[in-house]
Amino acid sequence: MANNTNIRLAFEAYARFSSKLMACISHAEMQKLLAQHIKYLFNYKMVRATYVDAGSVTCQQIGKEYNQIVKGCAQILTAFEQRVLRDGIPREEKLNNETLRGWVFNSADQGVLIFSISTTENQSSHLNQSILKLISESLLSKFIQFTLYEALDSKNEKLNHALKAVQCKNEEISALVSFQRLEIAKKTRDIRSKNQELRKIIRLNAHEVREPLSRIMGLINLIKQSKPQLGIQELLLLEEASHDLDAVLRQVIQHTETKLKPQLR
Amino acid sequence: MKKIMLVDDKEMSNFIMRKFLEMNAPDCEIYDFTDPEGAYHKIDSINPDLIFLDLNMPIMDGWDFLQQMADEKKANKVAIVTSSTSENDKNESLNYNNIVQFIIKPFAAEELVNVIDRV
Repeated sequence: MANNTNIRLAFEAYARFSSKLMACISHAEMQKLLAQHIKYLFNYKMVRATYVDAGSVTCQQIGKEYNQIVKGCAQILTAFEQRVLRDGIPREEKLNNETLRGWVFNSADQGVLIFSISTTENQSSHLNQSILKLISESLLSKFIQFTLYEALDSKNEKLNHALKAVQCKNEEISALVSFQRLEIAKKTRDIRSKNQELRKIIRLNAHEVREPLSRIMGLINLIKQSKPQLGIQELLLLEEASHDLDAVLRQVIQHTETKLKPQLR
Repeated sequence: MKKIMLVDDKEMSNFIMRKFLEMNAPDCEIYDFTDPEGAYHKIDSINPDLIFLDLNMPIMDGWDFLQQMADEKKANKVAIVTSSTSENDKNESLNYNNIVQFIIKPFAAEELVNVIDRV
């Protein structure tokens, strides 16, 4: 009867522990919970819950005198834990007036949990194996969850770094594009201005330069048609020179227009 | 008898043109102007069959003259007579439906006679 009552109390203590464990979001919270509740479940001098995952080790140690969280590599495992891990089966060792007992629990594809308890001769060596297994499995799940959180945080941090790098590059590109736009606008203004100047030159050549010449040539034509008696030889020479000048001017105008045609529009 | 208007700011150009017309197309009635604005205001009263129009003139140039004709829907035929050999000017003249000829100075008498015969 007393035994049944003890079992019921132990399961009630486990239920309280388990529900609070589910709400834990950090190793520190887990340690606080272990320190508060483990005494209702086991007699102990020291309890260690050590999670080993791909060479990375996290240990929650709850003692009568002090508690600690240790993170590191396989070197932080005690010699006893190393033996438990190596054999993969429950182990019990006596050292002076202490008894060390350890169990190893495996997850499907994540790490393993080594749960170990040391008790003195005065403390009861009785352990409820079912409770121990339930607690260890709950702790293992929580360790796995924390490991996944940490991996996620690490990836998020890398993504944030990458995002910042991309934003930085985007700013550089935007600055470059703005600069290029200003340069293009400036060059376009320059080209338009030059084109206007060239249009003026074409207009000057086409209208102003040819105009007096066309009058000279018109007069010559008129005099020729009127058949004057005097100065015909001189007029023919004047006509020839005028035609030469006209040919050169036409050539200049045509050349300028051809060269600048793509820029005129 | 066809009525011809000459519009050129250079008096000598009008003189040359008038002489050519008198020798080669004596049946024309000629009105010459060195002031384009004055000429424009006479279009309705003279109602010419053809206007020989220079392009390069101060205050109101040949293009202004043509644009004002288009704006006011004056359909009198125009022959441009210019010293410009620019393709730009020739292309721009295509924008006006009443232009019948683009003549470059110095012109041959036949060019004037041909265009008068066509209007």
